[in-house]
This record gives sequence, structure tokens and C-alpha cells, in this order.
Amino acid sequence: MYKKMLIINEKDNVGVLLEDCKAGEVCRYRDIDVKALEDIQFGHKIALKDMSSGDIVYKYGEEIGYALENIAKGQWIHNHNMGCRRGK
Amino acid sequence: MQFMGYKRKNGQVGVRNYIGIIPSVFCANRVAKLIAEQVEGAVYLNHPVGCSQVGEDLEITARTLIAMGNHPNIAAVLVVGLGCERFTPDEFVRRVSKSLKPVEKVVIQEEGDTLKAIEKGVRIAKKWAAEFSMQERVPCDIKDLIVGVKCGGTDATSGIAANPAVGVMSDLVVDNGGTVLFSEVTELLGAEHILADRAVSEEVANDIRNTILKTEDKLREIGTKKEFCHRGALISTGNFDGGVSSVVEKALGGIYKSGTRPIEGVVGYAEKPEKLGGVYLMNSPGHDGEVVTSFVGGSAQVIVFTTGRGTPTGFPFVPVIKVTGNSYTFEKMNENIDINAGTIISEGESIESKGKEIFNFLIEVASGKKTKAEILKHDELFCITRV
Repeated sequence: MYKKMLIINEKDNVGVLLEDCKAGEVCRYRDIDVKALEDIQFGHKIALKDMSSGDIVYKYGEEIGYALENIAKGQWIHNHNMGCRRGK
Repeated sequence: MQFMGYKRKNGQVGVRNYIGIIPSVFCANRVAKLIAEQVEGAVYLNHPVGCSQVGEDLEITARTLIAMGNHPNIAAVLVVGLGCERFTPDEFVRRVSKSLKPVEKVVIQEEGDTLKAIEKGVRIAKKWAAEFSMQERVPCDIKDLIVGVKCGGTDATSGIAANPAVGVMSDLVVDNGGTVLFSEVTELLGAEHILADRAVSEEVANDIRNTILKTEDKLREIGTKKEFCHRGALISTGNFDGGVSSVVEKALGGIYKSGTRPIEGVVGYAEKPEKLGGVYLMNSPGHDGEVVTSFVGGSAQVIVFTTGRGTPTGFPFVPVIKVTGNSYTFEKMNENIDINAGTIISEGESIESKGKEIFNFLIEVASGKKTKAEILKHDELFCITRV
């Protein structure tokens, strides 16, 4: 059973979960599958590829922040591992 | 395209027909409230300002209160003053009378006391209640409609369902000759290049960039002080819980509300665009209430408000249509939310068709249908911003 995911723009390196998912479950958008490495809630983001610390995170085809540490494909991406330089 | 509204003597069009009981200073709040409670069809505006202010701060207060009096959803205005305040009841009455609607004042220190002021106020307001209860709605053109679009209690569904659907509605409003106001400048950081690309001219593009960058400078100054660094988050706890991780992510999801049509200009807090028609960025800081008050000050007759987490708020005399992109929230807060755009996610409904549904609902509300916030008498969103 696949979990529903949305990839908004082809430039994005994160997907948005359209339902809650547990570690080990596979999230699918069209022909793209990503296995979740941890539990991720509805509406939250999953890494579509491995990222190195400092890499730019893209959603909506635009920069939304940067990786604060190395992030593996399938990890949850949120404010614990993603920073943002704006307004600071 | 038309809706059924109330024509005012100065050519403006209202979608509601209230008698406004407006204090010129917070000291008159209770008297204003008690007058409004005695009279059918009257609303009062509660606020904490009107005195001991100077310069730009007092100017914004005065401008906003005058704009409330001039608003087309208000048929007649009773100013309730104390008598010694800095924003004087006389100036208030003079500036509202230019709208050609009936306006009078009751000043507590002149009348003698609370009871005498209430009696005089009720007698004035009840005369108008009889008169305006006979006014009928007539066909009005959408070119006379100004719609403010706002989001509050954002989660990740706002940017992928509710805001894009409201964007379709915004395009329909503009294509029919109407005006759309959007704002929330503190939450536009990182989206300035997209908005500037939509500007009608290089001058407007610069205005957009400068408005956003100035706000960012201010945020940086306030939010990065060492002693307050634990209060430095630019988005709220609920946004984080809902899957939004940065102010830029929120901005990119938020700007969908304004649709795709060209941006005609930038207007100041609670100011009306000089030329109607098209999309305008309103330079308003602050929370839901301050922004919606700025839209209403700019003469918006209806507000369309997206909320993923869910919020019940409303405005005393302007309908606020609530749209959520989150089906769970729609079920949980059903008595507060008018439209579920969560079907875009849960049932694969198209953004286009949901946008058209919101537009049709907007026309119904402009023609008199009550929103859920109105039915439950929510009125929290009247909040004047401070400098």
C-alpha cells in the first residue's frame, strides 16, 4: 500500500505527504517512489534525494531554505534540519 | 457580472447595511456597545486607541477609524466620543460627512454621564434603523467590489489547495472588473521576485521589492535582539506543526491567493487604491486582525480567508468567507468554515472548479448570504495597527 505524496514542481527536492506515513512505508507521486526513513505527518515534507549540509531545499520550484546537516533521501525535512536566512 | 448590493449617495456600493456606532477613543467603548445593543441593525467597533498617541501612530488610528465610518457596508455613523481625546469627535464627524451618509456624534462629557449619552445615542440610531430598514438591494456591477484575500492559521494544505483555489477566484474577480487586495507583507519574504515580475511597471516592481525589504529590515531589527531570541520565530507554532518550515515556504504558498493577474500598485495601511480594478499589494504589518482591518479601511466589502489549522474569527460589519484546504479541519470546525477546498487533496477535485465555487459563493455573500462567522457574530478582526 503506497502513501499519497505531492511533488509541486519538477525542480523540487522535497515531496509533500498527503497522508500520515510510518517509517518503512513507500510514498508515491506518479512514477516516483520514496521510502520514508521515519514517521512523517500529513502536510510535512520528505527528502526526494540525498542532500549535503548547506544544500538548497526547493519547494514550489523555489528556494525555501537550506539543509542544516546531511539529509538522506526519505528523511523528514522540517525546521530541525532546515534553516532559512531570510528576516534574520 | 452583477450582485445585489446597496447603492450609496457617493456612488460606493455596500454588501451589508449596518448602522455603525464608532468610539473615537477607547474610553467611549462601553457607551458605544450599550447603544448598539439597543438598536436592531447596529454594530459597534471596540478598540484600544484614540488618545495619548502622536505622529504616524495617531495618523494611522485616525485614518483607519475615518475609513470605517466611510465604509460602504455602513449606512449611517454615530461617533461616540469622550470629549478630551486627541482624535476629536469633531474631526471624525467632519471627515465621515464627506461620504454624504448621515453622521452624528454623542460626546459623553457634553451629555453629562454614561446614561445620558446612551439615551441620546439610542434615539439617534433608532431613527436611522427605521429609515435604512426600508433600503432595498439593487443590481450592482462587480467592478464596484473590492475583495481582500488573507490566510491565517496556515498549514501545508493552504499552499497546495486553499490558496491556489482562492487565486482562481481572484483572477475571476479581476477579469470581471473587480479589485483584489492582498497583504501580509511580513510573510512575503522570499517571494518578492515572483510578485515583482507581475508588476504593471518597473516603478511598481520597485515599490513591491522595497515594501518587502523594508519590512524584512524591521523584522531583523526586532527579532534578532539577543534577549528576545527565544521570540524570534517569524511564523507561528501552528504553522510549524502543520508542516510549514520557513517564512519563505509560507510566502510561496501564500501568494497564490492573489491569483496571476498583473499587480497594479502598492497602497498604504487602510488606504483605498486611487483607481479601482486589478490586484493591489497593501502595505500592512501584523496579524490577521490588523491586516483585515487594513483591507476594510481600503473599502474591501468582503474578505476571503483561508485557514488550514482553522480559525473562527470575523469582522463586525464585513463578511469573512472561510476556506480550508484541510478536510480534517473542515469536519472538526464545520460551524466556522464555509468552504472545503480539501477535496482538491482528498478527492482530486480540480483547483479550477473549486476556485469557481468560491467565486460563486462570493457573489452570493455579496448579495446578502451570511457567512458562518457572521451567523455566530464573530467580530475579533477589528484591530488597528500601531507604529
